[in-house]
Amino acid sequence: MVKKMSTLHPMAALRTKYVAPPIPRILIHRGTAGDAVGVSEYGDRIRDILGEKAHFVVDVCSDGANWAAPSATVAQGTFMRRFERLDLNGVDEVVECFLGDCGDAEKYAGTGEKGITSRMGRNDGSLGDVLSQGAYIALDRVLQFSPEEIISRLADIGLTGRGGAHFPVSQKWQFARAHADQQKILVVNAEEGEPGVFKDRHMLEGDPHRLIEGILIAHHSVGFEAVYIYVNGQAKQARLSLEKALLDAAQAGITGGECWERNFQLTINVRSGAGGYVCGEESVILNSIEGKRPVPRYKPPFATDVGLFGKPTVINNVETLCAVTTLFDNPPPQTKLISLSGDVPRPGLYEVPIDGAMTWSGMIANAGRNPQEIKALLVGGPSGEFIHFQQFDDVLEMSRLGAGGVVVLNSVADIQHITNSLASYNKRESCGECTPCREGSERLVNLLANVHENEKKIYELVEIMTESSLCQLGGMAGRPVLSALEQFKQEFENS
Amino acid sequence: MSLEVTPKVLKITIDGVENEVVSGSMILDAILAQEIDIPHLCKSDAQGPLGACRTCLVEIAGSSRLVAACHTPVTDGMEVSTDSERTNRIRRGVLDLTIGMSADGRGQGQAALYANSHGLSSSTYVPNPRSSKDESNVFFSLDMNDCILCGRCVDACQNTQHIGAIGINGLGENAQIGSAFNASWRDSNCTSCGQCVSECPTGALLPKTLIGSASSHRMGRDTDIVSTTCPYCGVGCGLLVHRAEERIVWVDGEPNNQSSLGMTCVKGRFGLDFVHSEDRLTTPLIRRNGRLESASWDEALQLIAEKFVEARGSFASIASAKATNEDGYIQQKFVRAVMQTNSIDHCSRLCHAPSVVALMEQVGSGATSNSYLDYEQAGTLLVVGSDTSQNHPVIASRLRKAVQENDAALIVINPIEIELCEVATVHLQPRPGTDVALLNAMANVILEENLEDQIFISQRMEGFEEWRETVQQVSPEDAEKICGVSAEDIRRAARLFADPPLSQNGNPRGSCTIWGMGVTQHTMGSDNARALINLALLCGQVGGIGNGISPLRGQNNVQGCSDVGCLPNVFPGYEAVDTVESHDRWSAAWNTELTFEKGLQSTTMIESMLEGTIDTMYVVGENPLLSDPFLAHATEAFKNLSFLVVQDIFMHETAEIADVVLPAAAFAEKDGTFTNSERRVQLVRKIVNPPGEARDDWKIISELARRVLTILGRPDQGFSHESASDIFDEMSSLMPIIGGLSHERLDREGGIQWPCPDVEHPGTPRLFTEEFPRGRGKFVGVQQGPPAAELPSKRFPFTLITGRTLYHWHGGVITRRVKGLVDMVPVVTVDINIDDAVQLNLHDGDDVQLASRRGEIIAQVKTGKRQRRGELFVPFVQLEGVAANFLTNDELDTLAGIPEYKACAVRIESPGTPTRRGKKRSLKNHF
Ligand SMILES: Cc1cc2nc3c(=O)[nH]c(=O)nc-3n(C[C@H](O)[C@H](O)[C@H](O)COP(=O)(O)O)c2cc1C
Ligand code: SF4
Ligand code: SF4
Ligand code: SF4
Ligand code: FES
Repeated sequence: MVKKMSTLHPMAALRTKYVAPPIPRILIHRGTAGDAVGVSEYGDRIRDILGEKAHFVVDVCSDGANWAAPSATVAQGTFMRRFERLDLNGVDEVVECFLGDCGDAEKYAGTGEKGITSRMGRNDGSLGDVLSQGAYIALDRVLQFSPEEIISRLADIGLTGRGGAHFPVSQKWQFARAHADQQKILVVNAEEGEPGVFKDRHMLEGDPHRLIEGILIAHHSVGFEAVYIYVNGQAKQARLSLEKALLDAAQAGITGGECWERNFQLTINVRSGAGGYVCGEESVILNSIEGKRPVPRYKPPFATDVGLFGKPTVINNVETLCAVTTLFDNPPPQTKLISLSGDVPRPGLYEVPIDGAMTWSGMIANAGRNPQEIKALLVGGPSGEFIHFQQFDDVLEMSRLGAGGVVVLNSVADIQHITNSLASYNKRESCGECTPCREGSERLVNLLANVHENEKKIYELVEIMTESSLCQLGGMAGRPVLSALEQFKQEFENS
Repeated sequence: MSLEVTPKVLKITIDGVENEVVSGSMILDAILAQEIDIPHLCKSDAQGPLGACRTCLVEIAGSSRLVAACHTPVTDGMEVSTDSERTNRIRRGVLDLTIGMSADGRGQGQAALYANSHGLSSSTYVPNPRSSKDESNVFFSLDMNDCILCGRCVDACQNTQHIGAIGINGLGENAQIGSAFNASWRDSNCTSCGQCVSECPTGALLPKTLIGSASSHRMGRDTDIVSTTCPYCGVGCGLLVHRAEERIVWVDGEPNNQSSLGMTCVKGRFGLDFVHSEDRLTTPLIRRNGRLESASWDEALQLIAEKFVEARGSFASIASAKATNEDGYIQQKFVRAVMQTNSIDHCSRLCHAPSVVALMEQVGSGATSNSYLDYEQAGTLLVVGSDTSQNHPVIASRLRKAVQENDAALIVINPIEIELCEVATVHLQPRPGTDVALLNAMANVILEENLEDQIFISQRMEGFEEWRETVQQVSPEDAEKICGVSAEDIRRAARLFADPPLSQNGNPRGSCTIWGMGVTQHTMGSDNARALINLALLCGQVGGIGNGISPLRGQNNVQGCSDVGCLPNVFPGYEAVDTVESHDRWSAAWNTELTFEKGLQSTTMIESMLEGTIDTMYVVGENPLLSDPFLAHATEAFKNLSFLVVQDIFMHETAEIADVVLPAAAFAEKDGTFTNSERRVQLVRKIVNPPGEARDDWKIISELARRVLTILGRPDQGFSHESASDIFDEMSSLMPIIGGLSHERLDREGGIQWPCPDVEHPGTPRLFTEEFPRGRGKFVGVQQGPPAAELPSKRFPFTLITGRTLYHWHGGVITRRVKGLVDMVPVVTVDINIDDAVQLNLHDGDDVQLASRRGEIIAQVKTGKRQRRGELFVPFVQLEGVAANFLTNDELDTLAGIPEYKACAVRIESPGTPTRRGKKRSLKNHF
């Protein structure tokens, strides 16, 4: 624990203690994506070549450009150049660039410059490194505001949850804050069980301090007794780097001690659970942490009234809290992390501005595909909808993006097959707690075998599941089905 | 939103009709209160919402989504519609999916009922049942073909009974009801309480006894329901008994009963069909030429009356703690006012007399001071010598609730590792008979660490200094040597007791002291009780919320039987027979001259019978030849009588040697009241007619009284009540403790705890809040003596502990007639420590012979680690002619006259070993 540094401004004191002077570096993008293709082999090679300058080579996490792996970035001050899909020749190019000859030095056009991903894949995971890149400035700033001011600021901006349901953050915080019970709890949802979504994992691997900072802002605004971060059991790397960051932050007095005027004294616990789609549903997480059967709770009461261990509880997604940090770092426009996969040359994580200008086409083009070759997008996974190519010029709206999983489907994609798979997926993942979803999801799969005959019944069943299910797995299970039937009816014609 | 002050009463409009509900009500509560019936398959009256069936959907004006009425709270001004086209359509769809789960596609029970009311006679889907079955439980079966996975059974087990034997195993389409770890139901920790069966809306869980088909079971066809009180143990659970065609066909717990909160145990639920047993006594029997033969009531009563008239002066009577208060009152009135003796007693002698002795001495009242509710409000529960899960199962559920829901600390003191130990904070396992040392050492720690309640001691207690000296001699280290319990555990328990953990909201809480027969059934039973009461008083843990002292009552009406005066030393309401004031009062009330002389205790009656000073006995509803210790000896005494009358519902060992046997009505065949362990007086209601010529006990006794009086030439008044309610009115007019009670009031308000002196008085959940009946409470110093009168020796190396089993009641006269209960525990078993078993080469299921100095029995070996080496446990039920009391010692506690059931010395032999007790000792030697 660090003694209170009374003379210096807390931020200055932190930096003095932890930040080393900047040096040019070669960043080797490891993380789950990089390691999967053996990027460290290239890193070792580069270190060999550099010999005594090998210490300029540092391992960092993925910067989101998973398609580019194995990759490395040369970083000198604001100058960045990423070398993609490295081969052994490419390695020489990296070294040359680092040593001075970068050829046509283009500015690194990766993900958002100053947004939520600004430090992702550019820091070595040390506290000093993230501090040097601006971590905890937002918190420092926010501490001058009253909780009311912060919450009304969030309301003005209209920040909504990024876990998929897009509930206004300000409202959730206000409900919990106003609750008479002073033992409030924050649960961070890092389960990310939805297939094809990998943003939270990237955040935790690549910039866990942004989350910690968001947690502290939420704490300053609501006042928590305890925090639980619920990490997907399979996301081992994410959990490791989060735990390291938590330890660093605690040792530096950021979470546990007297770093700021205000002593946070906050214990942050990390938990992992069984996994599965429905395990990301917020009340399943509460049950799971309490050691109960991993099924949803009925609502009302809502978690802000009766949550973890019966205490008023705020549940926020990782990206949501990171967005809070980013918001106080940099003013809007708001962005959304998109986990893009499917038929594009450059699948990966994208930070996309939701600024009223960005369209679906723009997004597809960013990933290197001509939108005209694409039949549809599946947005929001098994609870989502198909976006027909005729709508590609619509601008992106936050509320339609779910958790930000987007699958790009080319002209030969079989919509019927995909629809059936999604229905089967929902049936498999149904926890079985409530009748409409447990029974209905199975009936739906069967009815889809003969759409021609069962169309009316399918619509009826989907309405029943939507209106009556206990949680939104059952509530949304019919959404992709109806969306497919409405837009791609002809593909079901001969079934 | 939470800052708004919510009004206490909320307005809600349902289908156009405006109503008011209290805040906190759910929409479904309001709907049902308005007598509108909407489906609510997973919500029971007795339990909280589960939200699983999704059939209770309604529409709220201004809300786009339908909501589930069962878990959505009413807000002020809410407008609800239960019957719109949309709600009906969606509900119908959900019901369609629901009945599609059953094998015939029609659904069962309430699911079918609601589907029908929504226009569905069968599902529009192909049936898709889960088809597994579990028939292993003796009392009920599970058929997944009928299950709708509503989860009510699981909730009942986990959150009502706090057992947690079953769960929904598997997720999604694999979800199934089953015992935890997928063991068979019977091999799980299920106690067969049947709470789950009671909750099942479809009959997927179906009783095997009592009734036939699932649908009729759950649709409640042809049954009417009578609310009454359980005849088994002192917990006094409220039962809703379903009757069809003059038979008991099912039992639900009464959710409004404040003692049992809707629970019952296996005996209350599945154990009532003894009433319909083929071998009930149906006519009076008179012994002629050595054989009992049927006789008319007139003959039998006249014979008895004539004999009783002659027997004045050598007559004694035993009352039944199973009979009603009214029965007991009339019996003691007969004994006192007609037979002119106080020699009337009942079985509390066999269980709690030492508690009463100690309580009378130290606080001045023998009753439980608090309510079961206090257990749930306490911070620490000290449970001594009570295997609560076996003997008072529903109290055990409330204790588990206290631990699991309210984070209470639980200290168990018991030589046996009882089931409650699973949830206990500390288990102190003393050697049998060393409780005094243990409890004194706990007091020592409390004094040493200044944890005693000094204000309480100085304001409300006396005898502190003298007593303090006695416990200061016993350090935890000393106790460790005597009891075999580590000093550290003793300290920990003492601290928990004196300084109970705070509530979840940080408020201070109390400690409850709860004890059972393990404390009292010893030669130093009274000393044990005193040491325990000292401890509670030392910490001021009496008279407040969440504290108090509770001797748990064995039989259903031990408390009431004592209250109404079936004791040799007191009149009804505990007025001493030998003080002029009460003597005169009762003599006047009964219009006769009563005797001042105290009567005989049941255990000393035996002695007098052997001596011949008692030659005529009237035994009502008891079987002393099974429950008395040292049976051979008691049999001798009863055989020595010149005239024995036994009045009961079944033939039993004592009745078999009687001169006249009278057939009595069972609890289900009469009206009356029982008073439970928390002093709650509760109504017993007639459900069916008695078999044959059997009659209410009080009617038989009254008739007898009139005949005796007539022979004596005295006016035959005082025994002409019209009904049990009439008798109760006489009782309440004479007994201030129930002065405010009447059957009519109990019917209206449910059970009420005495004292309740007048009709305005709400009853008394807690005694001694301001002062003790004796003024100041009194510390009484006690010291550890030899652990038992009979210690293990070379010839008899094992200490035998007796106790009870959940599946049997007392000596087993009743439960032996309930097939399911016998199936669960068919033979007498002996628990033996596995290490002893290994050494003796004994295995589970082996038959062994246990021999003591007094007799021998055959029992089946059950190995385990429930007790330490050198100790054996045998339940005292008699099964197949075997009863532990053939072994036990009748050495008495000097003050209270209770026999030492809990400890005697035995050895293990192979079956058939000839008795080596040597010559039968003459009885003279024994005394
Ligand atoms: C089936 C299902 C799965 C979900 N999975 C996740 C998840 O993996 N991560 C997540 O943050 N939210 C998930 N949610 C949404 C959460 O229930 C909840 O709305 C969210 O965590 C709230 O945080 P936010 O307001 O910050 O978005 C899921 C919801 C459902 C119905
Ligand atoms: S909707 Fe599906 S996943 Fe959600 S509670 Fe019901 S069964 Fe479980
Ligand atoms: S009978 Fe009782 S203990 Fe057994 S499963 Fe049912 S509720 Fe649980
Ligand atoms: S067995 Fe009965 S109570 Fe249990 S889940 Fe099935 S239907 Fe519901
Ligand atoms: S009764 Fe409301 S969901 Fe079952």
